[in-house]
Parts: sequence; C-alpha cells; structure tokens
Amino acid sequence: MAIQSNRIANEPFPVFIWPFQGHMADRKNILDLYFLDARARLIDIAAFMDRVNRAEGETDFRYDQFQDALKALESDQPNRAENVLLAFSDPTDEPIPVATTKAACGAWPGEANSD
Amino acid sequence: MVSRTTDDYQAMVMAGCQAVCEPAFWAGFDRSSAQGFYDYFCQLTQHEPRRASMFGLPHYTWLCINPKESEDVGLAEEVLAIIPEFMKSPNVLGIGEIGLNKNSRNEIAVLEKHIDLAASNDQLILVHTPHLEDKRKGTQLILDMLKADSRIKPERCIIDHVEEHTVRMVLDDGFWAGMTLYPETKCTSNRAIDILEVYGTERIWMNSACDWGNSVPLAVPKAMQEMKRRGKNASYVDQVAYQNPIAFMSQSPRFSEPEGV
Ligand SMILES: [Zn+2]
Repeated sequence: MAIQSNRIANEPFPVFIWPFQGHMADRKNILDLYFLDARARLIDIAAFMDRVNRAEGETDFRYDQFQDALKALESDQPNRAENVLLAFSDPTDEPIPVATTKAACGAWPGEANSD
Repeated sequence: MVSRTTDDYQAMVMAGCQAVCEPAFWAGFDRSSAQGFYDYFCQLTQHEPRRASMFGLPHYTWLCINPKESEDVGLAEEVLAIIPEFMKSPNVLGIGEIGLNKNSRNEIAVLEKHIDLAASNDQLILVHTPHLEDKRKGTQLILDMLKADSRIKPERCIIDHVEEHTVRMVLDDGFWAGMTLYPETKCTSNRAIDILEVYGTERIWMNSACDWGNSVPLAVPKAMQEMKRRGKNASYVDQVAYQNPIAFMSQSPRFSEPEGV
C-alpha cells in the first residue's frame, strides 16, 4: 500500500499543505511536522546517557528519576508527558518546615535530602 | 519588562503585541528592605508604563512580594503594608504573582496574607506555581488555600505556569490556567498547543516571559505561528492568544480592551 502523506513528493525539503484545518490532525501530518525534531532530541537523550556512562563516580537521585521517567515512554497511553513530569515531582503533600534554598534542581531529592 | 531593553519593546510591537501585563517579580537577588519594594512598585506603576507608552503599548501590572522572598515573614508583612497605596494606580490589575516556591510553611503564611489582601480589596489574583519538582505539590497546596477562602472566586484567579501534570486540577476547580512559554523550564510552544488540544480553549491562556533570565518575549507570537503550522484557523489562534487574556483581564475595571491592529 502506498504511504500517503501531505508532504509533497520529490521536494528536497519538506513542504506542507494544510488539508486538516479545523479537524483532528492526521498522524502522518504530525510525523511530517515533528519526526525529525523528536528524532534529534531522542538521539540527544541517548548521547547524554552514554556521556553519563563514560564519566566516573556515582550518579545521584536525578539520574535515578531520569531512568524512571524513561519508563513513561513505554506506555501506549497519551499521558506520557504528564507521567514524565510526575516521575520528577515531589510526591508528598505536606509543606516543608523551612525553605533553605530558592532553587529547584528538576528532580526530588527525597525527604532525607530535601532542604 | 523592567530588566528588558527598548529593543524588546520594539520587537513586541512589531510582532503585534497589544498590551503588556507585568507581575511583580523576584529581582534575581533579594531586596534588602521594604523601601526597596517601594521603589520597585513606583517603577511598576509609574516609570515602566511611561517607557511602554513610548512604543504605544498599554502597560498593566500586578503587585506583591514574590514567594521567593516569602521566607522572611517580617519583611513580607512590611511590604504587604505598602501595597494598598499602590493598588489605586491606574495600571494595577490585581495581586500577583503570588504563590509558593519551595512549599514552605512561611511561604504559605505569606500567601494567606496576600489572598486576604486581594479578597478584601476585590482584586484579581495572578498565581505563580513552583518550579520543576515542586510544582505538583505546590499547585495543589495553592488551590486548596484559594478554595478554603469563601471570598475567592476561581474565575477571578489565574494559576500560571501550568504543565501537563497540573493543568487538569486547575481547570477542574474553575480557575483560569496560564501556560508560560520558556525555552527549557515550564512549557514549550508545542506542549502548550498539545495542552490546548487535550483540554480545550476555555479559561486558558499563554504568556511569554520577559524576565532577567533566559526568556523569550516573542514566545507567544511564535506559538501562534506554530498553531498555524498545525492547521489551526485564525479564529482559534485569536481566541487563545488574544480573546482569552482580554476576557480574564476585563474583569478588572482598570483594563481597557486594546484597539487592535
Ligand atoms: Zn512565576
């Protein structure tokens, strides 16, 4: 079966037309728009993990949560971004006694290490 | 805009921006006294509107002590005491950006005082939700506090910096949701458009950040461009980028709808 796409054939660079205005986007349209960008980001993530491997010493909670967050990508449900964010989030509900820093590092240090 | 150059104002006007809405913000360093805040509030209510007007841009602002400076409750109380004097200024839309940063007990105490100040003066509220790992918990704590005050009307509060894991709780409780577009933290244009596709276009807007750090004043016009690339029609883009902010801010008698291009 011929693969249909709204990418115009034989163009050296992607050229797009817009047959889906006002309708649910077609999956191939989404791939046409974002595949190369997502591919590049995925390779960047792989290279980052290789870089961590090649370095010496221990990783910390940030990398543990990074690896947990990757598991969210294996889901076939359309809430992967939400689950990646939750993998890095403080899961507790109570206020902390005192803020000893203003900064957030992107991953939850855990109650023992938290502020 | 206080840390931005006139080049940014120029670019924003050329990109079609119709008004600027500037919340009181942390300076990147702690101000040492309430007097420092007094000067800052003068800048937000007097000097910056004049600077914006040189580019034909109406300038609106919000007043508060930012949650990043809320750990010192004594200083926060002094700053809260001078805010009413500035609330009469013609460009003040309300109290903001208030909220939490690390979700500490003192931050919560200061947020409570801000909510009371807004409620007792019938002001709109602009809420900053915490960064990164602190956002989910902080957003929930903030929503619980706002809901606990019977004087607060959710439709008069915008909860800013929502992402995929916090947008639902904000909208479900009847509040407005803001998506702040940043290159790395918070939300990218594409994710903001995804959120619009999933949650719809009611009670939600996007904003560009124009602060002293790495931020992109033209992020909203760029997101509008991206919506067009995804095939959204002109009325959809107009609704999200223009009509929704007007609908929210028009709840303040100080806000005048821009004349348009
Ligand atoms: Zn903020």
